[in-house]
Amino acid sequence: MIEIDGLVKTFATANGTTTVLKDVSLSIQQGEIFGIIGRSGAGKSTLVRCVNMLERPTAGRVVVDGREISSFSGHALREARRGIGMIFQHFNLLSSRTAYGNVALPLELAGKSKAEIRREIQPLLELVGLTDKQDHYPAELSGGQKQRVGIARALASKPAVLLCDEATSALDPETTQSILALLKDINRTLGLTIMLITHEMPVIKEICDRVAVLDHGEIVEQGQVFDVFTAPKADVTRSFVRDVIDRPLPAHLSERLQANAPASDSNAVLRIIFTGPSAETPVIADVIRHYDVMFNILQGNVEYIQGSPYGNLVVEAIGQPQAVQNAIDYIRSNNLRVEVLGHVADAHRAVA
Amino acid sequence: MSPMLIGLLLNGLQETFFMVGISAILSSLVGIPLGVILVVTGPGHILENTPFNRILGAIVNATRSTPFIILMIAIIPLTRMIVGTSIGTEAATVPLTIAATPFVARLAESSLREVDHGLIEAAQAMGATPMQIILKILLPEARPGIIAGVTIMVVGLIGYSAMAGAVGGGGLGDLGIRYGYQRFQPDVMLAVVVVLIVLVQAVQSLGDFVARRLNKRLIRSKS
Repeated sequence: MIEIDGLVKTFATANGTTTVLKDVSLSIQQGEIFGIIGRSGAGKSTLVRCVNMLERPTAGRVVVDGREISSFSGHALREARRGIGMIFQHFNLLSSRTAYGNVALPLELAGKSKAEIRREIQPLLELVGLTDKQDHYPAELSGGQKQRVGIARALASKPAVLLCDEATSALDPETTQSILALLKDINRTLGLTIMLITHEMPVIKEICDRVAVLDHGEIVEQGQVFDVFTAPKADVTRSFVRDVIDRPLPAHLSERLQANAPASDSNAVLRIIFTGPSAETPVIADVIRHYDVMFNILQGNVEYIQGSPYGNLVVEAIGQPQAVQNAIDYIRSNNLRVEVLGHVADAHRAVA
Repeated sequence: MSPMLIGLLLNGLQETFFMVGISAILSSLVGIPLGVILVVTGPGHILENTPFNRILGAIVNATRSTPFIILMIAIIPLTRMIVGTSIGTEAATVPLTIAATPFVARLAESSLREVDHGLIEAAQAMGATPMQIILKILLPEARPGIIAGVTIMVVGLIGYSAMAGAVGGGGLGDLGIRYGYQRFQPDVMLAVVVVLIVLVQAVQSLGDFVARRLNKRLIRSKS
């Protein structure tokens, strides 16, 4: 649905030119929610703005719905833009128009009659749940309601693609959830392709099917959200994922952690990762029953990404080194990932 | 107050209304579009054209920096060409309009420039033409500011019209100078000043009221 091929964007600055996007290529399928995540300054906003030519690429091609929009200008470009909806971080609603008037704008621009506009707006306002607020001005609406108006406005021209430029970044977490739920609902019911950019990993986790990680103008990683989350490859991805799942160890623990000092009075600290079906089998209970090892749970959580569980458990393994090694082998044989984070002095034995 | 004085005041008021009214309408009709052109041809805007923008800006500044009394005399040939005479109320509307137009243009420009660039981008993303952006985004969003600007211009025109009166334009200013100053009738002068104060107050209050009603950016308590 959206094909981006060899996209380059440079900006002229006081000290020469800055390259914001370096040879970016992406392929977004019909009906999917594709997320692009990056730190601020990574170029993600420029990338999404290149899709509807709010920003002209310096080089490369952008094809939306079979039309090479990057070769268009003037009337053809305006016509193509009507097939691409866009919502913004700061909503960009006209303060002089009511919610109804704002949703009517794209229809007025397309030259529709008042009666046609009235007929088309009502279902849109119902879809975003703002029928009772249609005569309110933006100043009288909350942030979430403003973004709902923005979504209804973007859908008014019946686009095939919706671009979301940090659409939830100005909203509180609860409102973000409700807007994401609405986007997902629209994606399902209307079959709308959504390209979403954000710096918030929870947003990606919540609704995206696939994700691309943008860093310094380059795509460093892309794939199914579950795969990227559970097996991040690039450093920047790992740091994003850590925010959501691999929570850092508490300071008092990481300070005690020694990299490789398997002294007789120290215990191994293990991170056990459960993914997919393995998260639902009682492997830990089996280990404790069959091997002479005790687990002291230090940290743990289970996240659901795209409906699949992803568990992360940090334990201190108390037992003889050979027994611990056997336990690790057993866990690995059950398709769980085990990582030895280090060793800590055995507090229990020291006390004893 | 003598009936004669009342008659003179009414006559002067009528002439002032005529001069200010005509020139306010004409200068708004030319000045607001001029303000739009100054904005949209500016750097980074929808119809960017830097050389044109610079030249237009220079012309506007030149007109604004010419003192009104000099402008009035300098354009006498033009005034004669347009209204057939350089003396009288009709003739005064020509220099008043020419002086007020760049003033309105600059005031409109500053209001139009305040319109959030995000709104223009949103409209571009919807496939709006530059003309649609001007008519449906820029002007409606800047309307409260433009109304406030026009109000300032009308108040300014009332002051200028008194100056035009001094050179045979008629109106309240002319009345004040002829009777109050040249014939030593301070009561006429005082009456003229009082009428002008009331007039300016009324214009300002009306302008403020309309601008406030049109500004939807602030939440008004609904009754």
